[in-house]
Amino acid sequence: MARDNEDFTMIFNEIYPGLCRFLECLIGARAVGTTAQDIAQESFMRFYRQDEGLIPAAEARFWLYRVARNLALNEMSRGRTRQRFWGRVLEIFHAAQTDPAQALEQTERREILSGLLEALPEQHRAALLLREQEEMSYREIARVLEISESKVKVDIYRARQSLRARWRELERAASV
Amino acid sequence: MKARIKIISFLFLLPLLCASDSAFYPSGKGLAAASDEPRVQFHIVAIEEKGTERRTLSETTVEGPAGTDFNVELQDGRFSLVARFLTDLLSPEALKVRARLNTRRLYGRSEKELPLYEEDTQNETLQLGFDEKIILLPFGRGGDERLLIEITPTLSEKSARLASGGLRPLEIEIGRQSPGGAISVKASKTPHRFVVEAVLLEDGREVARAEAPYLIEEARELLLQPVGDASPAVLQHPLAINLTLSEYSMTRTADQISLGFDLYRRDAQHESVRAAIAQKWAGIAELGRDLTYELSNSFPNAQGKKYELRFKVKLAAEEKAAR
Amino acid sequence: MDCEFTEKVSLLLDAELPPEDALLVTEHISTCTACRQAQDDFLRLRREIKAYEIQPQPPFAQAGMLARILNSEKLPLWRRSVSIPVPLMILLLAIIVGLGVWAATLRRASGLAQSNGAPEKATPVKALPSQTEVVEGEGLDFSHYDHGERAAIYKVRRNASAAHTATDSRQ
Repeated sequence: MARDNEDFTMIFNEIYPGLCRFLECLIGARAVGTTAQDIAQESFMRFYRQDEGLIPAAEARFWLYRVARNLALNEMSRGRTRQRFWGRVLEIFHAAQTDPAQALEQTERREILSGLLEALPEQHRAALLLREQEEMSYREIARVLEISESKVKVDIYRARQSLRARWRELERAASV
Repeated sequence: MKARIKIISFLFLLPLLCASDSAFYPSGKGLAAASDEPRVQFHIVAIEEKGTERRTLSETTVEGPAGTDFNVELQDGRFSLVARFLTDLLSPEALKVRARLNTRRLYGRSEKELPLYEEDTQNETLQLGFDEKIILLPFGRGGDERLLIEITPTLSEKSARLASGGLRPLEIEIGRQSPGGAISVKASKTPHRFVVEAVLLEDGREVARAEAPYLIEEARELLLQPVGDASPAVLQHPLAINLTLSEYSMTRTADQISLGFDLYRRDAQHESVRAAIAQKWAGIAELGRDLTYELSNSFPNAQGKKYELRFKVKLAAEEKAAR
Repeated sequence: MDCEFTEKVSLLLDAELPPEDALLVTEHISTCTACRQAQDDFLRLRREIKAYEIQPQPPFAQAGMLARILNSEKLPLWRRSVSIPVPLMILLLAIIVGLGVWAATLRRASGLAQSNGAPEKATPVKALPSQTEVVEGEGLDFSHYDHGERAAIYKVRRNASAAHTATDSRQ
């Protein structure tokens, strides 16, 4: 039986913002403009078309993150780049609505973190983002990424070690 | 003539008989070797019971040296169980199995729609003969439909050594896989038996010591006995250590064991009178190397003396032989 | 310089350590500068990653996307795609091919029988065994068994069934 619209809306509103954030961090600089949203839309579109019996609501989150991540991997492997034009357009639209200094700080922090994350191998990055942003357990992360729990443990640890080392390098460079 | 010869012959042969029993008795080497390195097999079957009907869902056999551990894991979207079994062969007829069951069950969602889980941990120690089996009911005894896991141990007939002389590794045979892999079995062999040596040093001199065999994850008390010219402080208040070895790990550089302990001073006259010096201390020791704790700040009436507690954890002889 | 416990600090922060290990690691952190630093760094990273805000979107972008999906054309069943695990896919193909071969064989046999003038025999119905085989690939749903009770574990004599068991045996 096709999915009920009300159920789908509830799932969409719950998961969509987090999924976009995850995708944006995962794809990094390549996810400029609407790429992360495109992938999120495609993932939800596929989910919407699935029969409810195949993916119960409790499994939705894992299924969506798994599919979205696989779609993101496809994007990254194709090496698509998008112009920063769209990003600038969006910022112009929103500049009037936010405090410019705050907006700048947010942009800077986003770019710094994005740069740091981009330097990580994709699997380390995905595991860490699912843990820190989505607060998934190692078991849940293993299900989404289709790897073992012990690999999740190692990937997250290595991601953290790598990030903290690079962060320190940045701080050292900035203080010079 | 005959009689004399017989007696002489007998007298002549008797020393030979005594010197070499192998001429008349099996050397026992083969038998001894087999029992020195016994192997155990666990047949693990998941069964669904509906009334009187039983349906086998999965079947796995784990076979390995004595001290082989295994996990039985159940997982679906809402429920997970990790049942960990530490096994030890106590004798050719008896097995000690320590089970730890960790259960996680989804029971609802929070106000922010985050999943909420109910978690439970149970520990159970079973001592069983090879004419017995273990029954695990992941969801308890109730209901018309039940899931049960039967674990049947037997002494394995496989030899401990391969033809090349090397140790036969652990083997897992999956007779029937559960649908969707919802039930899985993992096995491992890590050392369970250790020897712990504890020494109290006063200004660098050994003044009390104790040594005892330990089984992993079993608390046991070490009573340090004064040695040499221990000071009155040590003689009147000998130390007792309630110690547990908790986790063994093999790292790239060395084998390590985690330990946790409480330290007490006993009254030499009144055994039951104890004062805690240190509680819930912990550490990670490298096998065969010293792990030292500075006690001077915690030791009552130290009077300027430096006190240290030094541990050394080694593999038990039977574990070394099995490597 | 890192300590060998640093990896366990990472597990502690993710609540992935059993309680007794968590206690050990917490105790250790209080005495180890390297691990304390690692913990601080990991927590700072966590704050930064959690604080990450996505690129601002045009107003009503989310609502617009939802509307687009809900209004999208629902594919007829025959055009929908479904993800099937590879082993199940292989099994289904094998069943389809097997059915095809069986049907073809039956047709041939009945054709031969008819050409020989022999009457067609009805195919006997195979009785189902009492212990049904489990079909690989179907998932297990534990909710049938789950009534919220705690797990139980005990030993029994080998020839005893679980239904007639001894009381729990504790050492």
